[in-house]
Amino acid sequence: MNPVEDRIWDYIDGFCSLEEKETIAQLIINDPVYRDKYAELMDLQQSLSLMELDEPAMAFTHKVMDKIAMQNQPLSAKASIDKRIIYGISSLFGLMLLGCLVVIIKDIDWSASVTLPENLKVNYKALESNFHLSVATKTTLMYSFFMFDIIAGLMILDKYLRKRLA
Amino acid sequence: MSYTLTMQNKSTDIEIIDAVIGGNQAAYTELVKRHQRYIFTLALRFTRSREDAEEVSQDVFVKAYRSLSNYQRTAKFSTWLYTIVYHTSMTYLRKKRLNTSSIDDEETMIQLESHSSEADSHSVEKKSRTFYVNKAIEMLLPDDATIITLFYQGEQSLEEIAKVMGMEANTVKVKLHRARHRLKEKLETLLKGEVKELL
Repeated sequence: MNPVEDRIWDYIDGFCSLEEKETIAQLIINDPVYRDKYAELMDLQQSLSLMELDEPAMAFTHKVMDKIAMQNQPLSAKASIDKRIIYGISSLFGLMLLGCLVVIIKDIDWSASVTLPENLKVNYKALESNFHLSVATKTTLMYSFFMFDIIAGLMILDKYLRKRLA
Repeated sequence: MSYTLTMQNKSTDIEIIDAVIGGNQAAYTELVKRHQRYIFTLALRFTRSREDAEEVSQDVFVKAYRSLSNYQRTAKFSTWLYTIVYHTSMTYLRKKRLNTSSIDDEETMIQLESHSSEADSHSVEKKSRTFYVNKAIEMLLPDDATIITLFYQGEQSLEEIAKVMGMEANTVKVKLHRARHRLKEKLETLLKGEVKELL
């Protein structure tokens, strides 16, 4: 490739910086190599800009519309998704979350109590040792955490697939 | 009635798309009329035969119609349409197993000779410069011809061409430089010494 040619094309296409543009403009005025090349490329540029598009056969539009007539009506994305599916999925997730919540509430040891001293000072050590979660509660919390991760993962996957299909 | 009136006022592509999605299938005619020349020219760059280009172009419009609801309005409709042309033409070429390396192959050499003899037999002055530029583009590799067509006739930016061809904008820029360089070479071959006079 010719670096002079590349620079002039960038100048013609407007792809160079302002500084570069001024430099090339000066070179075109003062340097005969740049001047000749610029004139040559501008001629080609003009021919390319004047180029006409090819025309398909007269019946082209008619043929396309005949084929279109045999196609189903394109539906907007909103209309093409069955709302019952959306409601079904959301109610499934809703029920699962509700189930988790019920298990957590059921497993919490509500009988845990703290005896405050008479002078109303809180004994934090005693409070800590008396308040505990059962193993089942801890497991449920863990499952809830995983469930949240799965839902977030599904949402990200959905977003990715939508972008790819677009 | 209202749509016919709107059509006369030159609706935008988006307005027409909305009308088509809304159930007005006939509105698609305007989109076809508006873009068919660009689509056909681009398809012709790949197929090199008018019959095949028409087939590909028709296929493109049917595909576009079927996927109209998937068109994200972030890019120009023409850019989206050119992407379909590019992929449909590529699939077409793969199916037909055409030898796309047209620059050096025997067939092109015959073409070049016939073009050269044509150039010899007819006076250069009688033929427009655009005619020879068009002929030179036909001799380029499909990718080079596509970039030049999209840039000059499709008036697409480097970023838009990059999107159509699935490349980086910088790669497109380099390819555009190379395509024009090769085009100049083809023109010189086509017109032999007379190109010097014209350029």
